[in-house]
Amino acid sequence: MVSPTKPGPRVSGDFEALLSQAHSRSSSEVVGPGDEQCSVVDASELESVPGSEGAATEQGPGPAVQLLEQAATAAEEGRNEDSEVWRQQRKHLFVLTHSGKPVYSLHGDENALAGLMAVMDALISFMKDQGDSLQSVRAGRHIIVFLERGPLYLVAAAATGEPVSVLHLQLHLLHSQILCILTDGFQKVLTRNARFDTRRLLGGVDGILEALHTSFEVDPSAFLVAFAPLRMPALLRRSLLLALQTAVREGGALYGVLLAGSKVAALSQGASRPLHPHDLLALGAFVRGSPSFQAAETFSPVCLPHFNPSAFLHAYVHYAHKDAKVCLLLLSTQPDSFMRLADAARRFRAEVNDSGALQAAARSGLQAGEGQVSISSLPALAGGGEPGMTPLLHFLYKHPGRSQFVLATWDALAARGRLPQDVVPHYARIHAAVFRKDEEFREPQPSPLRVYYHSTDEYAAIAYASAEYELYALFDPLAQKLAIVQICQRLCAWVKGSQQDLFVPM
Amino acid sequence: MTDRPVPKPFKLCLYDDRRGQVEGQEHEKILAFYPSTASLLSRTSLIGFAQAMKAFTSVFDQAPCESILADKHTWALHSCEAHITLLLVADRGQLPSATTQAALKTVLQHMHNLLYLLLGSLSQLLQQQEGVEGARKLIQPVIAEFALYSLAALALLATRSPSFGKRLMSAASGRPKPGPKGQKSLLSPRTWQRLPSGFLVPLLGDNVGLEGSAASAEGHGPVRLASMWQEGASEPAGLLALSHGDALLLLIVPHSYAPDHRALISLANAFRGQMQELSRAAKEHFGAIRHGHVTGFRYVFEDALAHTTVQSPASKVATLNKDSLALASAVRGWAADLAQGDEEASVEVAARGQPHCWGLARRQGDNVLVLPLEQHKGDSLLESCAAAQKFADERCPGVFW
Repeated sequence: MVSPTKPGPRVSGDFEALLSQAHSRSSSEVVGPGDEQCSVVDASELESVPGSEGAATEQGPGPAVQLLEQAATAAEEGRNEDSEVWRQQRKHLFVLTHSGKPVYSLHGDENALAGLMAVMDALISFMKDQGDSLQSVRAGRHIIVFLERGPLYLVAAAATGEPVSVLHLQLHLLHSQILCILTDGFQKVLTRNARFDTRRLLGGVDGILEALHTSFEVDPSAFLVAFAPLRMPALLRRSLLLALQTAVREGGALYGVLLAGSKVAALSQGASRPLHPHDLLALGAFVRGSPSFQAAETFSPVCLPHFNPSAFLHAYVHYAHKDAKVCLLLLSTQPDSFMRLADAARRFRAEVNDSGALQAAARSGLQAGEGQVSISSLPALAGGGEPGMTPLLHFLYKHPGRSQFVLATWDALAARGRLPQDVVPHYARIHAAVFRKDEEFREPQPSPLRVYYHSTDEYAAIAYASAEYELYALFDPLAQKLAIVQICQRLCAWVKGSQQDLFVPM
Repeated sequence: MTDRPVPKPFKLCLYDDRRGQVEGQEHEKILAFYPSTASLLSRTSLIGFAQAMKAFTSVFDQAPCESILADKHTWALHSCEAHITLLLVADRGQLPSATTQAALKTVLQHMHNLLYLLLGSLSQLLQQQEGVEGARKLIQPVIAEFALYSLAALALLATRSPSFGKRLMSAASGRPKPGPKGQKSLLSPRTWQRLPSGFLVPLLGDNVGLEGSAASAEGHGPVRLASMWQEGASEPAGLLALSHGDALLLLIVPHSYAPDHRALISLANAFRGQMQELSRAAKEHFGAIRHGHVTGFRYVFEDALAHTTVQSPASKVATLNKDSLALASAVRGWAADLAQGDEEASVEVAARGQPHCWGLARRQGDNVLVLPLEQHKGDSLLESCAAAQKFADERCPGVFW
C-alpha cells in the first residue's frame, strides 16, 4: 500500500527535466545551512550555469567550478558514482529520506552521492504520483530493489545473484539496524520536518552497518530467520546456560546472550517473549561493529525492533574473553540497572571460569570456522572426508523449532576457489525456490516444496524442507543422485544425534 | 480509430531517444503508441520515466534496463535497435498469474521481429526520404495490429506471439478473424486476397509498403507482391504465399520478380501435387485431437534443432491441477535461470510440491523438456527423475543425457 506522502515533483515527460528537478531539489537540501559540502553528479548541468566555463575569476574559482572540482575529487577518491572502483562493487545499499536527503551509503560518501540519491527519490516519487509503488528493476546482472519504510527510502543495487526477496529482506534489516540505534522516534521527527538531518544521528555507526552487511555476505541468518549456535560439548554448554540464567534473574534482565564472534554460545530468554532471530542479528552487528565495547564494561541503549521499535532497552556489554571475542550481553528495561547487571555479570564470569565453560567457549570460538562442522570430521557414510575424497562439498542445516542453523566449514569449496560470498547467494536462491518467494506472482504463493534438486556444471544441489528440519547441501556435479540422497539421509541422522552439542537449548 | 473497446491494461510504445531533445518537443521521440487515444502527457511521461530509469541503471550496469516491477504495473523494455526502444506497460492485475517479465520481453522481441520482417531496419526506415513522419505512418498500424490481436488476447501474452503464418492461413481460409476496419498492416488477414491461382497477395490500396494497380487486380499485367525483409539484407525480398488445405507454402523471391497471373497459375500447378500430399499428411498428423499425447505424461519439449515445440494436447494439460501447473512453470524458470544464457549449459531441476506432484525440467543448450508428474508411480526423487529420463530417452532420444 502506498503511504500518503508529500506532493511529489511535477511530472515531466522528459528525462532531462526529471533529473533537473531532482538536482535542484538536492542542491537546496544538501547545500543548506550548516552543510559544508555538496556535490553535483551531472557536470552537464553546470554548462548552463553562468561562469562555469572559463578560468577562475579575480576573486577565485566560481562556485560552479568548485563544485566541478569537488565532484572530480570525489570520483578520484572512490566516493561517488563517477569512480570506477565504486561502480565495481557487487552490492550497494542506500538510505535516503522522502525529500531525497542522503542518509547512508554502503560505499562512497553520502554527500558525494547526493545527486544519485536525488534521482532515486525522483524515480520513486514519479511512481507514487502514478498511484503505484516501485518494487524492483533489472538491468543486465544487476537487480535494484526499492523499499519504503516510514519517511525513508531504502535501495539495494546488487549483482550478487541474490533473489529480489533476499535483497528486499536485507533492506528491511538495514532499516531495523537503524531503528536498533535510534528507535523509530527519529522517523516521527523526520515526518514533521523533511529537512531534519538523520545523518548526524548516525554519526560513527558505519562500523555497525558494515558488520550487518558483512553478515549478509557470509551468513544465511537473514533469509533463514535463524541464528548460528556455537558448537561445544553439551555439558559445558549447560553450565554456561545455567550461569547465564542466574545472571539474568539476579540482574533483573529481560535477556542474556553470550556471543562468541558471530555465534551464540548461550541464550536466556523468557518463554513469552523469545528474542527474534532478526533482533539477535541486529544486536550482534551492534556489538561487533562497536570496537569501543572491547575496552571496558559498557552500558548502552539499544532498541530491538521486534520487541518494541519505539523504546530503548539497556544493554550491559562486557567482553569476557577478548581474543575469542566472547561477549556477555544482559538486556534490561531499567536505565539505572548498570550496577546490578555488572554485579550479576561478575558472578557469572566467576562461575563459568571455575567450571571451565568459558574456556571451552573461547576454544571453540577460536577454532577455524568458529566451531562450524568440518566435513572431514563427519562419518564417511554421512559424506565425511577430506576435500576431493567425498562428493559432499558443503551443507546448511536448520532446526526450525529452535530457529538455529548449522553451517559446514568452507574447506572443500575453498579448494575449488569458491568463497562464502559466492555460495551464500546460491543458498539464498535455493531457499527462495523452496519457499516459493517470487515477487512476480500476485496470487497467494503455493505451499513450500518438500524436495528440491538441481544439477549444473558447477554443483549438484539438494534441499529437503519439513516442519522438523531443513537441509541444503552442495555436491560435486558428477555425484550420483543415489549417493546424494543416501548421504543426506545419514547427515540428517548425524545432526539429529549430535544436536545437544550443535544447538543451544531453548 | 478502432471499432472495438480499447483494452486499457496495456500501453505499447516505440520511441527513438535521439529525437525530441528540445523541451516541449518530447513527443517527437514517439514513433508509435498504443492505445492511440492516450494523451500526449501520458505518453511522454511513460517515455520520460523509462529513459530516466535507463540512465539510473546505467550507473550500475552497462546492459540496458529490461524490466521494472511496480506494485500494480509491470514494465518491459527492449532495446531493439540503436537508440530505438520498445516499451510495454501492463496492468499486473489483468495478466495471467503465470506471466513473467521474461515472457513480456519475449513478446517485445517477437514484435520487433515482425516489424523487421515487414519494414526492415527501423533505423534505415527513419533515414529514408519520407523521414520520421513517413516511418510513423508505416509503423503505427503494425503496432496497433499487434496490440489488438496479441495483447488483447491476454491468454496469449505469456506463451505465444502472433504468427504471421497464422494470419495468412486465416486469410486463406476465407474466414479472417474480425479486425478493425481500415487496418493497414499486413498482419491483418483482411489485407490479403486469394487469387484464382491459389496464391495469396496483398489487397490493393494504401496498404503498408504496397502499391497496386487496377490492371493487376483484374488479371492483367504483373502482380505486385508483398515485401518482406530478411535479417541482414540490404534490400527487401518479395513474398508469395500458396495455400492448399492445411498446408501453406511461403516463397521468398527477388523483389524484382513480377509474375503475371498466368505465371502464378503455372507455378501453382507445379506445386499442386506436393501441396495436396503435404496437406493430407499434415491433417492426419497434426489434426488428431490427441496429437502429441503420451499416455501417463504431460509435457512440453522445445526442440532447438528442429525449431519446434511438441507438447501434450490442451485438453490433457487442462487435467493438471493449478499447483502442478505453477510448479511446472516454476521449474522451467529455475532451469532457465541456472543456464544463465549459456548455450552449452546442461541443467536438471526437480522439485516436489504439495500434495503429490513433481515438477521436472531439463535443459541441454536450447533444448528444453518440462514434465509435471502428478500421482506418478513412485514418490521419490530417484524414481521421478528416472521416469523423466525414460521419457526423454524415448521421446527425445539423444537430446538429454
